[in-house]
Amino acid sequence: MLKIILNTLNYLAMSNQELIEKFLDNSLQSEDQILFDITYKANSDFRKQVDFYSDLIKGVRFASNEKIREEVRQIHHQILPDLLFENDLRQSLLLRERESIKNEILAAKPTLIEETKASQTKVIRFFSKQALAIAASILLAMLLTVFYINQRNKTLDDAQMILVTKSIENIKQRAQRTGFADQEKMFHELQSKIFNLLESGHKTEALKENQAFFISKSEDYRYDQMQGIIFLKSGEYKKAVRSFQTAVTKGDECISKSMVLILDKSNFELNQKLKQEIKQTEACEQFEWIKQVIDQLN
Amino acid sequence: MNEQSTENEIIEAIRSGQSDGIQQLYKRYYPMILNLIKLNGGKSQDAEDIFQEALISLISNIRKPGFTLTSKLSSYIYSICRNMWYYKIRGNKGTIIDTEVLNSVPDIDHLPEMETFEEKHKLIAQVFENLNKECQQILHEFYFLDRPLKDIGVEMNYTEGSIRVKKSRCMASLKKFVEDHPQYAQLFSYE
Repeated sequence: MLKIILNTLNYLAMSNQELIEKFLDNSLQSEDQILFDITYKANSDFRKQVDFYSDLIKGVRFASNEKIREEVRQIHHQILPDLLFENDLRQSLLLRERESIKNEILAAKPTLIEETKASQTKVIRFFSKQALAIAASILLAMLLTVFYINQRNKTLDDAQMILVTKSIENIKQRAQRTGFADQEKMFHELQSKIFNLLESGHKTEALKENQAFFISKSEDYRYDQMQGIIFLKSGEYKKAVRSFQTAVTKGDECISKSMVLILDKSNFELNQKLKQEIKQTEACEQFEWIKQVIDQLN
Repeated sequence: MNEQSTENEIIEAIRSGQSDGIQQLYKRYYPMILNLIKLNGGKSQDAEDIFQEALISLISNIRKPGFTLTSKLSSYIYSICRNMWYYKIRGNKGTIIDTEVLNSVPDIDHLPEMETFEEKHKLIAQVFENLNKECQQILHEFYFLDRPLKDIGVEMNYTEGSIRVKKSRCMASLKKFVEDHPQYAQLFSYE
């Protein structure tokens, strides 16, 4: 009994400062915790001190979190363009594989029909006419899509496709890295918005956003540059080339010039000249991907 | 470190601060998360943000002493991202959610809690950088990595008593720096 009383007296004698020290050392025992909680509720000065220290601890954790964030961010910017490119390439190859299987099936179809007729096998009807009609229209839609994509893509070869995909991914990444110190912050935000719209299939809205942003700045080459990117992402290569060429005439020395270089192989001499110009333009050195384009086209 | 590296090798690389551990996480799991987010009404930017947050949480846990992963890394990352994405879109009624995808991986026990930070914590973090390196290390290891003071002391050649005093002084310096900051009165008010 005496021991309990002595302990209680000891606890009551413990100063608030000691309690806070124990709290900061994570060494509050269960008895201390009870006293701590009571004091916290009853004493507003004590509560303010504890809340402030809790914020300090949280701030320390935030600082440590930020260091990890920076570590991750660096790797993110270093690795993501290539990773996304690999992903796109993988999907394209998959699509190509599917198309070739589809072609095999289509090629095999007449042979199968002939074989069926020849053997005069009685065909058991598994599907209703309606189901067959739906299946036929889906197949037709798929074939039309493949035809349409082929038509739009036929002007680009594999090497061009790879360079275009990489370039666009780099432009997108750069736009998304915008920060407070970015002098082109608003333009980069517009670019991010347009890339998001394009990803969700809203090409017309993307074009409208671009027009609205440059409404009173018709001589700004970034309008044509962005329009070129929109057409490029939508597979309209001829329009894209025209937009990039306009941007070049308005003074886009790096991005649009590089895009023309990738997309338009028709004039060898002009391309050689463009390459030289890009190489000699100091401002283009900030774009690592442009250097790669020049190297690969050499 | 390559595509054949085991999960334990990746964890070890992250623990020892080698960047190729994090690179492997990106290569192996980012496409999976991109797919998850896109199937559930998100965009690639959302996937990037969510994946980054999940990695920060995973890395900070891996670097804490005694961390052991009781599930596969892929399940762990998937669960964190799924929960974060669920939490983010809960208020957005326009988003179409593929619940089948979201529920396809069972919940992992003891997922880390996401701490929310305010402006005042950013200010403290800023001020924290003004402390000397020794103080930064002591406070980081004790309050972020949850390492026992005794262990920190052994590593830094201090007795348990001395490291306790050191930590206490570091905390007092941090407190003073924050109180002296011009934005202190504006950001810190307690009832």
